[in-house]
Amino acid sequence: MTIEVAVQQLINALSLGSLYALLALGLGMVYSVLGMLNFAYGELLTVCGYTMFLLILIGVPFPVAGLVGLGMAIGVSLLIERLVFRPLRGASFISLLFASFAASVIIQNLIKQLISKRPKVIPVPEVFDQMINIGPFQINVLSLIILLVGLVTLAGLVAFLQKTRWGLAIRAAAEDFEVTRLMGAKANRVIALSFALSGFVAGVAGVLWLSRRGAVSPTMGFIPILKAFIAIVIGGLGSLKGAVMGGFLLAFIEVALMVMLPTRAVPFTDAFALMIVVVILYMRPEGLISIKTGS
Amino acid sequence: MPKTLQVKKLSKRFSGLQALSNVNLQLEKEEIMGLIGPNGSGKTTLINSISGVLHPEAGSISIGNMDVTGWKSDKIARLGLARTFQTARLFFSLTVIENLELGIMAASRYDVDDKVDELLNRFGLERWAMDRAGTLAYGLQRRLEIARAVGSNPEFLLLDEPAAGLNEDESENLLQLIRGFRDPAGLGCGILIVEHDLAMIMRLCDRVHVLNEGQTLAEGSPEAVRSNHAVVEAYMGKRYTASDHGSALT
Amino acid sequence: MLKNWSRRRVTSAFHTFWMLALVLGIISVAAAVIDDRSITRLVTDFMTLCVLVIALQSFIGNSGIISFGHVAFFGIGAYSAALLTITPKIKAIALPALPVYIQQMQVSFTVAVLMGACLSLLVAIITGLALSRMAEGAMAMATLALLVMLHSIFANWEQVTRGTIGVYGIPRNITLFNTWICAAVVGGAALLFKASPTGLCLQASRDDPLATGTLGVSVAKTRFAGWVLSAILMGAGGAMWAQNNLAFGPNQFYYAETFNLLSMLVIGGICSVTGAIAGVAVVTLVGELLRGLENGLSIGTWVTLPELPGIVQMSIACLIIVVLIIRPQGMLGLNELSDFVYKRRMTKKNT
Ligand SMILES: Nc1ncnc2c1ncn2[C@@H]1O[C@H](COP(=O)(O)OP(=O)(O)OP(=O)(O)O)[C@@H](O)[C@H]1O
Ligand SMILES: [Mg+2]
Repeated sequence: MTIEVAVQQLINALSLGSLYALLALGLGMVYSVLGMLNFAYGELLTVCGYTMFLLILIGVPFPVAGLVGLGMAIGVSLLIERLVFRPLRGASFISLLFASFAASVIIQNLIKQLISKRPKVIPVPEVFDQMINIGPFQINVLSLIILLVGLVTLAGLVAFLQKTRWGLAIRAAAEDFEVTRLMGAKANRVIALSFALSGFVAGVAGVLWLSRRGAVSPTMGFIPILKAFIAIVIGGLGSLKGAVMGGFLLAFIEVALMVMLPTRAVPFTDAFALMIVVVILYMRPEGLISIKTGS
Repeated sequence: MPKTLQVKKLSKRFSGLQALSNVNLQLEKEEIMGLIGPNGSGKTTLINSISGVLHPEAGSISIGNMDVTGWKSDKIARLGLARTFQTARLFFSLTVIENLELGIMAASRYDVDDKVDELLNRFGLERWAMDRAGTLAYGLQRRLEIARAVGSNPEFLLLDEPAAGLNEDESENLLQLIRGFRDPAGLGCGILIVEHDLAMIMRLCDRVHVLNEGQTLAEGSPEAVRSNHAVVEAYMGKRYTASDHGSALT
Repeated sequence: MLKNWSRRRVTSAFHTFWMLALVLGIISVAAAVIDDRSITRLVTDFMTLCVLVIALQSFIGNSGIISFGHVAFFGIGAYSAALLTITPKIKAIALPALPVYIQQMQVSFTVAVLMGACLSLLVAIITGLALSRMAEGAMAMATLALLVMLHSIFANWEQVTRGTIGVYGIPRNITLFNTWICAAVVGGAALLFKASPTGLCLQASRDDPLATGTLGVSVAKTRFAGWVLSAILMGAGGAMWAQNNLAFGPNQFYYAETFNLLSMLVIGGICSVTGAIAGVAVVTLVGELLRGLENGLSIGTWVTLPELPGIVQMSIACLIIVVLIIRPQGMLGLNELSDFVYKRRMTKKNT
C-alpha cells in the first residue's frame, strides 16, 4: 500500500468515524440521561432524509433542505418523547426498548403509506463526488465535509455540555439516573432537552449520511441505529466520552477490514466487523470506559 | 479445626474516596461480631468486599484455609457465606416460596420443598407463602431476606442493618432469631452484624468492631468498646441520629 | 440435583401444560373437522408461531434480557430443514454446489425438526459462551450483532442458501397433527424449564442479578443455559416453519420478523408461556381482521378505502404501546394458566 492510499484510507476512517461518533453520541445522550435505548433513533435519520427528499423534489436547494430536515428530526424526537416515553416514565428497560421499537415501526409504516414503499434517489450536489488535491494526496470532498461537520458538531456539543447550565444538568443526570429522578419537575425539561439534542445530532448525521448514500428508503434507519448501538456498547454504555471513542473505533475496524479482506470476502465485511466487536466485548464486558470504575 | 473468616489489611477506594484502609478482622464460628461506625464509615463497603460484590485493591480475605480474594460473589457464597443487604434486595416478581427456594438451592443438600416449609414455619411466613415478594410489607420483606440468607445453612452470615425500619417488637424478635443462628444447636454460624442501635449491639454481640472513615478505631468486648475514649468521641462527638439510614450500596 | 426441583412448581407447570395442550388440541381438531384449506393454513401458521414465540419467551421472559438474535436461530432451523427436505432433483438444479451427501439426502419432518434444533444448538453454544459473560445492555447489542451477522451469511453464502434469491421446493410436510404435537412439546419444555431450578435462578437474575450472585448462583452460567435451551426450541420452530412455508429468502429472518415475534410476546406478556400463546392469538386475530384493509376495501358501492400497506404492522405497533402503558407486563402479566386455578384452591384451603 502506498503512502497516498494509506492517507486516503485514514481520512476515510476519520470521516466515517466522526459520523459514527455523532450517531453514537445522539443515542448515548438519551441512554445516559434516562437509562433507556431509543430504538426509534434511526427513524430520526429517516425523517430527516424524507423531508429533504420532498423539499428537493419541489426545488429547494440542498443546504436549505438539510436545515429543514434537521429541524424535523428535532421535532420528531421531541414528539416521540412526549407521546411514547413520557407516559411510560419509570417503566423497565425492556418495556421502554419495546415501546421505542414499536415507535420505530410506526414511523416506518407512516412513511410507507404517505410517501412510498420504494427507495427514492436524492440528488446530491455534484461537488461532493469530486476530488481535491492536497499536496500529493487526492481526497474526496464529501469525506472532508463529513469530517469537518462531524468534528465541529462534536466540538459544539462538548462545549454546550461543559460550559452551559443546561449542559451541566444533562451531565449530572448522565452521571446517575437517580439524579434525573431527584430533579423532580426540572427532570421533564432536562429529558426533553436530551431528546432535542439527540434529534439535533441525528439530523446532522442524517444530512451527512444521505450525502453519502444519495437515496432514502423507509427502513434506512436500521443501519445507523445498529452502528450507534454498537459504538455506545464498545465505548461503555452510559459514557458520553465512550460513545465518541466507540464510534471512531468501529469506523477504523470497518475501514481496516475493507482494505485488508480479499475481494471474495468483502460481502462478509459487516459480519467480520461484528465478530471483532463481540471479541472486544468478550474481553472487556463493560466496554472501553466503564461507568462503574469511572476511569 | 473450626473455620474462621479472616480479613487482612483490606483497602478499597472509590475514585478519590478511601472507603476502607487497612482493615483487619477475624470472625470465628458461633460468634456474633458487631460492626459499628458513623454513617459513611465503610461498613457496607466491608460487607460488599467480603461477599465478593466489590473487589478491594489491596488486602486478602480467606474463609477457613481458602483464600477467596478476588473471587466472584457466587463462588464465595457456595463456600458457605450468606449476606443480607442494607435495603432488602428480594426477587420482587417471585413468590415468597420461590425466594426461599433460591436461598436453599446453592447448598443443594436439602429437599427444597421440605426446607421451604421449615423456613416458612420458623420465620412465620406461611400466610404469605404464595404472595409475590414485592407486595409484602417492609418488615416482612426484611424477615424474608434473612430467611432466604440462612436457607443454605451458611457458616458465616453478614447482616447489614437487619433491624433498620423495624418496630420494637420486630427488633426483639429479630434479636432472638439471630441468637438462634449462632447457637451450635441451630446453625452455629459466625455472624457479622451492622447495626446503629447500640443497645442492641451491646446485648447481642460477643465482640464489637468499630470503623471510622474506613479505619479500624477499636475492637473488643462490648464493655471495652463502650468505654473506649476514641469511640465515644467519634460516635457521640458527632451528633448521631439512629433514624438516619442512607442506602449507600451500589 | 433432583432435590432442587420443587414439586410445587413442577406440578403447576404440569397443570398449565395439559390445559394449554388441550386448548391447542381443540383448535387443531376443530380445524380438521371444518376441513377448509385456508383455515387449516391459518391453524398451522398459528401453531408454528406459537412454537417460535414460546422459544423466544423461554429466554427473554426468564432472563429479562431482550434478544434480537433469536430470529437468526429461526433462520438456521429453516435453512437446515430446507437443505434436508428438498428433493434431490431440485437440489441438483438449484444448489449444485452442495456436497453430494447433502444433495442426496431427504429426511422426514421429525428428523428435519431435530436437525434444525441441533444446528441451532451448535451456534448457540459458540455464541452463548461469549454472550453470557456480558452486561445486560451489551448482551442486547451482541444479539443484534448476531442477527446482522447471520443475515449477512444467509444473504451471501450462495452455494448453500442461494443468497438473496432464496430456496424453494420444500415439501409441505406439515399437518394439523404434527404442528399440534410440536407446539405442545415446545410449550411443555418451556414450562418445565421455567419450573426447573435453573429456570428459577434465571428469573431471579431478571429481578436482581447482583443478589442472585450472592446466593451462590452463577448468573453467567444460568444465562448460558437459558440461551441454549431457547435456541434449540427456536431452531426446531424454524424447521417447522420452513416446511409450512415451502420457499423463503434471507430477508425473512431480519428486522420485520424480529418485530413480529417480539410484538406477540410483549402483548401476551413476556414472563408467561400462556402469555406467549395468547399474544400469538391476539396478533393473528388483529392481522386477519385488518388484512382486508391492507389491500383496499369497498364498503357498499360508494365508499372505497384506498390500499393501506403496512396497516397491520402499524396497528400492532400501536397496540404494543397501549399495552405497555396500561399493563406493562403484558396481558397475562406474571401468571400462567394454572395460577388462576391453583390460587383459588389455596385461598379456599386458608379460609
Ligand atoms: N459504589 C460507590 N461508589 C462511590 N462511593 C461509594 C460507593 N459505595 C459507597 N461509597 C462511599 O464510600 C463511603 C463508605 O460507604 P459505606 O456505604 O460503606 O458506609 P456505611 O458505613 O455503610 O454507611 P451507612 O451507615 O450510611 O450505611 C461513603 O462515603 C460512600 O459515599
Ligand atoms: Mg451501610
